Amino acid sequence: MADLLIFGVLWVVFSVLGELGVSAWGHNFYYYTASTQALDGLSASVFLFRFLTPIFVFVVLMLIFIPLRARRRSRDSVVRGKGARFNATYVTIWVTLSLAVNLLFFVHPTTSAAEQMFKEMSPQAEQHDLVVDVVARQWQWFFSYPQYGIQNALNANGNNVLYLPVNRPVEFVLRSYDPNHPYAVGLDVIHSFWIPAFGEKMDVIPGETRYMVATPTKIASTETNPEVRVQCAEVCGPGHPYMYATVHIVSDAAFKQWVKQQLKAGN
Amino acid sequence: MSVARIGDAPLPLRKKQIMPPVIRGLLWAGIGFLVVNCLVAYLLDPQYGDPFITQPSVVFGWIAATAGWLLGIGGLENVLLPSFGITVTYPEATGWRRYFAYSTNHKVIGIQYLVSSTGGFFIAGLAAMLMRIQLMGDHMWFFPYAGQYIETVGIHGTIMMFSVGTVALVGGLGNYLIPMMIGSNSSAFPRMSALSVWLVPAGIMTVILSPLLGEWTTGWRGYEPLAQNDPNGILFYYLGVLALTLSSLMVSLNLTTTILFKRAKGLTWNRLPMYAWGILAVSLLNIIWLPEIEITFILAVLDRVVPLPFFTAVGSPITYLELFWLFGHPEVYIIVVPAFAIWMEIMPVMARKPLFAREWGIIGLIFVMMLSGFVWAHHMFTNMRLTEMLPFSFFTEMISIPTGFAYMVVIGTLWRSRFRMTVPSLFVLMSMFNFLIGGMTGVFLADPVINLQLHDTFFVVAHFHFTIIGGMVFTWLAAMYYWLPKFSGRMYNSKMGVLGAIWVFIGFDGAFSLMFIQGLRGMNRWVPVYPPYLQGINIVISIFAFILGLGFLFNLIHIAWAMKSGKKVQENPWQSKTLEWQTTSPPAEESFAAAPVVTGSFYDYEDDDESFSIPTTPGPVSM
Amino acid sequence: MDGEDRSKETVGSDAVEVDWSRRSFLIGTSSVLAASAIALFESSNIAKAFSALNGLQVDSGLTKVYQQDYYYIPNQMTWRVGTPMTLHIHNLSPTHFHEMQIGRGGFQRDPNYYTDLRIQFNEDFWDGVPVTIKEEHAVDNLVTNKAIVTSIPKPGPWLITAPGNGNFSPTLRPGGSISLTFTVPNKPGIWEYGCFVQGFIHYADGMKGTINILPA
Ligand code: HEM
Ligand SMILES: [Cu+2]
Ligand SMILES: [Cu+2]
Ligand SMILES: [Cu+2]
Repeated sequence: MADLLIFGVLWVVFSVLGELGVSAWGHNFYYYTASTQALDGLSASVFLFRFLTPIFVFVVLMLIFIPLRARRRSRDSVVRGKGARFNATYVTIWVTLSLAVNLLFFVHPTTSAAEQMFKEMSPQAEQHDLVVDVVARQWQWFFSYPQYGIQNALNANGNNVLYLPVNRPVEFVLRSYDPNHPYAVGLDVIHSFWIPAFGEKMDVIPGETRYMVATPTKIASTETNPEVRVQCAEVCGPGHPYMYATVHIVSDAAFKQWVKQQLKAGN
Repeated sequence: MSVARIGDAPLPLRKKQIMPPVIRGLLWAGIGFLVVNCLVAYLLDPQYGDPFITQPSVVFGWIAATAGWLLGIGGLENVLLPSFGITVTYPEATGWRRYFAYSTNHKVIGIQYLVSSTGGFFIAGLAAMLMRIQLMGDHMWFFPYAGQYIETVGIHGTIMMFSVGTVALVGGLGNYLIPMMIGSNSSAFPRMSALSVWLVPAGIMTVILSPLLGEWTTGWRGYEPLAQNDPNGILFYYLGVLALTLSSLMVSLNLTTTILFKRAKGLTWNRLPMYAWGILAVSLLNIIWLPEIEITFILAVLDRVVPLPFFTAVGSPITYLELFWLFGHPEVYIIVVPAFAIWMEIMPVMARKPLFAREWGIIGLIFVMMLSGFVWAHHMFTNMRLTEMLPFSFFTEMISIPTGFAYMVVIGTLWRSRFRMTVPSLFVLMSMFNFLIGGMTGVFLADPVINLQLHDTFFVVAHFHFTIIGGMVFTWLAAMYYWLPKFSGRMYNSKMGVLGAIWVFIGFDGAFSLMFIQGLRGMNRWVPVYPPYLQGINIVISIFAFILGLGFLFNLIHIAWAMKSGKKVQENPWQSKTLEWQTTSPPAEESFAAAPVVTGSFYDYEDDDESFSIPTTPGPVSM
Repeated sequence: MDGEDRSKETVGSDAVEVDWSRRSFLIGTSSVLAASAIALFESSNIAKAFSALNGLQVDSGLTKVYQQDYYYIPNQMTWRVGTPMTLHIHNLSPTHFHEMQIGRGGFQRDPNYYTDLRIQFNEDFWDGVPVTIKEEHAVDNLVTNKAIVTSIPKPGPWLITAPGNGNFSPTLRPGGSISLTFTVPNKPGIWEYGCFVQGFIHYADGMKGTINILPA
């Protein structure tokens, strides 16, 4: 009984401390969020943290507490351990709780957040999106804006660049092929389109078309925060580490300006 | 050579001088490779520009080399010729020599597997150290080319997974211990086992030499269509993994049959030791999934060599991913299920208490084994259809329930016990702590919306090292310290043991917990260069990684030293009741002089309490 | 059980012990280990030594260069000013296209976030050199830059003569080949050749070689 009591008190104390920690730091889990999708992922993570903390504390405390208690007890004359080889209450609680927690996690945040994502990607939701065609080849990203007639967005140095207006949903259409050498199907491999600050990535697969939607929420760029960058996340050959592109999230007006400039440059 | 019979002249020492089998195997392997490679490259299928090595020639050459190696090591006299009805006297070597020769003794085979695995571990560990050196800078400075770095990542992962993760606790400890634990003097198929072990060094060697054919960059998963696009080294990845998985498959066939048919009298299913349950579960996984990946790799080889575009851009790249992970997820349970079983084996002994809720522990192992076939696509959230996400997410979250049973059983066993804090118990506790972190972070990864951010970043790298190093390698060390008196009749130095445990714990948790943070901050996988803002954290991780590497080396040296010159101990220093401890330590050639009969449970530390302080042969065994 | 019995049989009965010399075992295994370590870590240096031997011999007439992923065979050559040559370039890669630029004098660079990648050589070896294309197969493109090019096969759209497309370089499709006939111009010294395709990564991954041009 004494054991149980001490343990219970410790468990409550450390769990509360843990929860305070989650409140204080949980929202830093995603270092930098610049899209609604990243915020959704972040709040799902914080929810998981809340529930996992007491479980984590329980197991870790057991792993530390028992050996410590046992060391004291070893001075006793009793050579064998006391305690049951089965305890129906303990097993029932354990099995029921782990089932309940996992079912809960599946309903929320897993299904609820996934449904939110499915909704954003449904055809009805994608009526007025900005469409960006993304083409990945070994080892470069190409961006074109069919709604604006921009064939291949380039910056002043001639490098591929992605410009996005803030607060407007974007639909990325992802394909993997080499636009300059279309005969070379042997070069088409899987890449993965990732903008860390957007909190999501999607693989780009040869022979298939994939989509990713994101709604940028902050004006930022690769220069102001390096997490706002396109980075290939799936290994795609020796050029994989170099497969990145700069991103600029700008105001609506600045975006219109940029479109004009790109068209003038004949991109 | 050794085939020659001994002449009639009386030999004073009755010793037969032969070429060392390992050397003969290497020689035959080399000859086999050269002959077949040249035959294919110059006569059967010459190619433009007359390259000495072509893709078909190297594949056939490798097959000949492997056959030459297995025959040279003793397969010729012991397996091939007898199966044609020709008997040759081929006496077994003795002393240290038997570990470098063909041997049908399951204990020798177990040690051979352990040594090969340890070799693989340190070779791949060295690769990890080289990677960590490169990652201390944000630009190419240590490796000349990015392709070489990525190839090193792949070699590290491949050797670690297929020659360490799946081998050390199954082919190694399993071969040594399982026959003894079930009261048998041999395993079911000793000759198959004697040969299968030599596929491990062959496989490791093949993977290590892959750079000679060209820098493959796919990592241990061999993702298509990159594998078709890569330089030729990928062929040695396929072939090396083929050798290693074939070895594991044979181990599993052997141990499953051993457990099914060679149990001692009275060893009912109700009394079967937990480790035997673990090996049974993992063997079923191996028998189901290893042939699957072997066939997939053969298709991939044909894809390159013929070529047949199964998995290229004009075929179906995603099919390869599905086929790989169909095996790949069970693979991680192949690695960790024996570790769970070892927790449940060591803890009741140290706790001096019956194993708590034993049935639930077994149910956990079996359900993990079954569910592991339903979760593969959680590695593919970033490329699957949206409609597939939720089912795979569901099963992934559910698999944590049977996994948790191992914790429930161990915690129940420890509760109110008289726990002995020894080096093995310390390692098991650390293993449970680290695997817990691996499991909890797995909950985040199982959620598709979060996974889209974490996938392919160092968060995942941290997660799976916590499950594999945390779960399996720490348990492997626990097992080595626990069974060290069995192997050698000697004891480790407990101060050094504790130091070793704390050393690797600090190195490991320091390095890999920071990798979670690093991944969230935007560090992706398979990159030798990264944006400058990530350099600070990479340097700290590398320093912890070097500490970890030295820590493993320290434990290796300590264990080797203890086996050779540790303090001599009594036969059963832990007063364990399982059968392997009821033999002499180290065990004799035949473990049991007379067949043992089991009359009670191995985990009852309640019945005759006081007698346990006196180390006599106790309990449930009557010889 | 049969296995068990048989294994006993081999050990027991006539009590023969095998023996092999400790020395031959140790020397044998350690030399194999050493050989594989050398193969692994020093293969590029060994290859270099061999190609240096190859480089000692002055090429003339038909000289073949093969392209692979991502290297050239050979990666070291010696030419002499005034020698008539036919350079036959053959791309053996089944998947990748490759090119061959020859140049020196440093590089034009692409200031990249990670590293500044080398785009092409500052000085083009083929500047003002008369070159005849003897044969071509599966050429993706040939940028002539300032070379004086005559083509015996009928030139297709692959022949790019317009300025501003970078240095002289034939780019070959997988399996493609081209033969260039020329007389080594009076430009002695050390030249480098390299492949800069696919975002300059082939060069960054080691697809390069050197030519030592001896004075006449
Ligand atoms: C000795 C300490 C170890 C260190 C410092 C270490 C470090 C690393 C690093 C830096 C990576 C590269 C991650 C990436 O860029 O994707 C990696 C990958 C990997 N490691 Fe380890 N590791 C260690 C031990 C192990 C062990 C014991 C195992 C398994 C038994 C293992 C299995 C793997 C696997 C499967 C990969 C993935 C390789 C791939 O992406 O193809 N590692 N490790
Ligand atoms: Cu990519
Ligand atoms: Cu990539
Ligand atoms: Cu190239």
